[in-house]
Amino acid sequence: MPLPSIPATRELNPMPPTKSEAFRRYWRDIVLGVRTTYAGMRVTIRNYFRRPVTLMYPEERPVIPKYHRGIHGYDEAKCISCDMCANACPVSCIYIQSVGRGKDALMTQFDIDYTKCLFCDLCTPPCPTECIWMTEEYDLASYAKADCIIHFARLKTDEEIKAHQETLARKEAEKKAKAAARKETPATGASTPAEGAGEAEGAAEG
Amino acid sequence: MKDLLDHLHNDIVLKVLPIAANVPVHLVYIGGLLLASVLVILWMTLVAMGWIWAERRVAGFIQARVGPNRVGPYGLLQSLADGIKLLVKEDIIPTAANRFLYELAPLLVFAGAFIPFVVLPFSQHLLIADMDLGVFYVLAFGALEVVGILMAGWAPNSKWSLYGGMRLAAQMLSYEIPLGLSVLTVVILAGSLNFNEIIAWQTRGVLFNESWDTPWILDWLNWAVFRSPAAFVAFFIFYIAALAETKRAPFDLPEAESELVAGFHTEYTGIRFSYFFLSEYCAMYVVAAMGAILFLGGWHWPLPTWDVPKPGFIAAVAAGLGEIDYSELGLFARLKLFLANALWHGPRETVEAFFQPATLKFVLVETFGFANLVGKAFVLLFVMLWIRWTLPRVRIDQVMHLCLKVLLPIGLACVLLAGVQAALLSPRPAEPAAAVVPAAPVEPEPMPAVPPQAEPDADMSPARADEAT
Amino acid sequence: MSPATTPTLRQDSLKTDELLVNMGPQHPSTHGVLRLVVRTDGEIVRETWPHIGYLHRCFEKIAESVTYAQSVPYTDRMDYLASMNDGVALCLAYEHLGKIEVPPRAQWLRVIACELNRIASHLMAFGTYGLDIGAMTPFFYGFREREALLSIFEKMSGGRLLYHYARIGGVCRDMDSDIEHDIRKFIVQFKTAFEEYNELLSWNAIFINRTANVGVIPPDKAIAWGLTGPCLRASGVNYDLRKRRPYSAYEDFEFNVILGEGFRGTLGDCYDRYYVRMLEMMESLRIVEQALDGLPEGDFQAKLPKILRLPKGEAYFAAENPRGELGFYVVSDGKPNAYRVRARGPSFCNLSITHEVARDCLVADVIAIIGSIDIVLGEVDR
Repeated sequence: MPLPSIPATRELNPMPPTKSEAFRRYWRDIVLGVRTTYAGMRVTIRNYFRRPVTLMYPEERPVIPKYHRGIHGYDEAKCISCDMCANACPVSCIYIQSVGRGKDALMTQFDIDYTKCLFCDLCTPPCPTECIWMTEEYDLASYAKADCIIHFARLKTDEEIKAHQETLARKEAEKKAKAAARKETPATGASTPAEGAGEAEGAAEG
Repeated sequence: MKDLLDHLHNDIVLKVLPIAANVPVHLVYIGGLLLASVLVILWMTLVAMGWIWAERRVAGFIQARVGPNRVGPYGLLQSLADGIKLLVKEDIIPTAANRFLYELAPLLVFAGAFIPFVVLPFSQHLLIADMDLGVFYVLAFGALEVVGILMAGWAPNSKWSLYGGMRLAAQMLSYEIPLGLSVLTVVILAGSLNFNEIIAWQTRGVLFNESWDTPWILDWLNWAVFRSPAAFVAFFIFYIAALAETKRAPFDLPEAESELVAGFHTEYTGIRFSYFFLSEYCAMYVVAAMGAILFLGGWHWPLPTWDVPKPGFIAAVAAGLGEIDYSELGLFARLKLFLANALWHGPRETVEAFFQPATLKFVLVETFGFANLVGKAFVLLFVMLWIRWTLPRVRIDQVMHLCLKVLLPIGLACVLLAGVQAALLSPRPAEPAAAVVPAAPVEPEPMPAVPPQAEPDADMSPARADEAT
Repeated sequence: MSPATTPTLRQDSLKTDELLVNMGPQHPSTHGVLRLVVRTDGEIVRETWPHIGYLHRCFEKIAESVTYAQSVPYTDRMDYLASMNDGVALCLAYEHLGKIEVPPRAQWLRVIACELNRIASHLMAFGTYGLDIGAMTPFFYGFREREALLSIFEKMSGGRLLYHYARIGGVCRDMDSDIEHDIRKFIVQFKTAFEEYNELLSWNAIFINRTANVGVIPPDKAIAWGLTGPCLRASGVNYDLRKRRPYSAYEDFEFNVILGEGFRGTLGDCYDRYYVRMLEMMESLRIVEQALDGLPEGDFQAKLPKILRLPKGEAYFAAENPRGELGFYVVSDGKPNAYRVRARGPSFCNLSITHEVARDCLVADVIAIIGSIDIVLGEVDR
């Protein structure tokens, strides 16, 4: 691409050509100084009497618009532990652990480390069940660094985990049995409604 | 009350009186001076802390925000909180610093701001010393600050302090000249260096006329600014030079170049820093008061001030201690006499003499005068703040250009015009010949070799009395 | 400053030594962590060396290990005052390489965002330049208008300073009538405020004396040292990427390119650079008005595969940031993350001229020059 054309440089502020010109400039500078000072002072005194824009935080709080990217919101029931949000995060600040996957998942850990979080909102779109979103909450100042990691999943007791593991193992066994049965009798057909109800019960227990 | 006074009189005063009467007057005088110093320092602190608060609030409102508003109602206690914080800070002295100069510098700067209060009036009779050289005194001791700042720039042995100190020395010393010239304009027109006389000159007369009396509503025409075009221009020169003297924007290179570079008081912490800070605001008040006195009529208008008869306790004082011409005395000398007289005549007469209508009128008039003067000074101070938050900083070479090439020639022209006006329009009465023109040379009488015969005593006393006068 | 270039300080017999002064990385001026080593002879500056690197955060290395979509939020942090423009530039580079078609509505939304961010960035430049010169009030007035802009951005994207608005293939959210209403209100408010700024700072005699004829950069020098953006245009060179190589529907808009002309002093001095930015703000306002009036319907983001892989190859794309030409050179080898991303930061190149220009002037002039070049250290150091 050709270089753009360069305009001629104006000559540097030349000395005034005549003495009278120098005098004229001297007085003009004084007059300009006074006039521009007056204009500036008029602006400032006008603003003196305008209402200040200060918000008296924390007594007055700002109005946060609806789609502000603040602290996350999480619905544990909907989460299927697919790790899409954790994979989408640029800084890997979402830590997920669960017992089982899919609708049967029991979330044992869903932590977001806010010392790392960019608040970039890349984690929200990939979620298939819309169980993670960003709220308008912004004020979670704390005294300890450990408080900056928010545990969204409710802490599960060991009995719960064990119970859920057993449920999952049972379901696995049932599925294997059904698959084996289907292999032997290929024309049997779809699962009975009773089995579907049993699965739902198992999920509700865990 | 009467019993208390009687008890006071009989049991305490009559016992103390012999001792008290022998207290040398100069000790009482020193006591009065100490009282004066305390009052002045109190006023300085009040003014400084009040204007620091005002600066931050005014800056806030100009900048579309509020200033401090948490520490006390409307943030009034903010300056106090900052002062306490500065007091409890650790006193750090750089190891390579010149310790003596380092410690002396803030004190000199403080002294330079404190000393002019001796002669600066607050009202017609509210002043410490009514000096005939008042104006000269203030200008002279304002230069003391420069020495202090040069020391402050040199002593900490830091590049940035040196920069700030050097720049500031150049700026402050140069701007003393236009300041002096503009003050000189008014002094020439008024014919005196005494503050009270200058204010008295601003009570009657309008432009180019010295004797017209104006109705109260137009009394502002008597002000120096409106009495002569030279004085009008000199007021603005005075104001700009005052801004430069007190290192205020737009001439605050030495201190607020601390954005990129640190100023001359960078190495000072705690109370040393607060000395600089306080003396800056006090110096601002001093130049604003000077401006109000010299150019804006002082304690004269708008609240009415008139000559009131001397209050009763002054009369009591005079009666007690013989014929003293007390009309020349300032408030503190009167206080000294008052105390001496109270001890002599006793508290009952003193209290009764004090609470008389004349005294109350006196207090009222003095309060009005105080309000006038301080009000005008505060208006000038507000404009200083206003300018600070409007204008950008002037570069040091442009500061010098402004002083030497703009203010100085115009200042000289003002002085010239003022001299012409004073000479042409208000000729001074001819001086008595005896004082100025030496008498015709008198031949010394030859000393008689022998002293004249001693005459009898009865004739001696009138002669001696004559010799004595 | 390598040992080879350590200056030998001149020492006369009169004991007026030259001082090597350090305007350290921490100073209250708001340009960021920049260290200036200045050799001064009394009050006169003989040479200046800028030292950078205090804000280096390895953007280019990180871009090699994260996927394309994940690398875009990192650009927000480069020039944090013109975050929209940064994101748009990188997304354009990726789209250029991957031949991804951006829907017209998304292009126009990007233009609105970029131009509003140009106004915000120039307002910051105006305010901080006033601070450097000593006028502290214009900073607050600029921020009052900037606050309105930041609220608009918050509604548009969800963030107030680091927006992550531009996504590969479009933008992250659509604009609704609420935001449009706010922008129109801002346009009216800004026109009054602009007059105030001029009265307060641009016409001020002291300001003009501080900035006119200071730091003159002639046009040939500007091109030789790789200046771009308002600094280049203030020296009279007509080079604006929005006109030369229009991207993102800029060819549909009518606006002027502001050139410096020695408004108050010489061509290419500090005042020119400052005033070019002020006039550019009004031009950006014009563009935003046109964009709001003619916003097309459609999608706000192109459909992309879940795991985006760009075809093998390299591409360079540059956008006109408020500070200059922000260019990204992307090398891809078919994987989900880039092989190499090189960011050409405009402030980095603009800052390089300091050594050339800030010499034989006063200390206060060095401040004026650095302020007029308007650098953001996040972009200098990446």
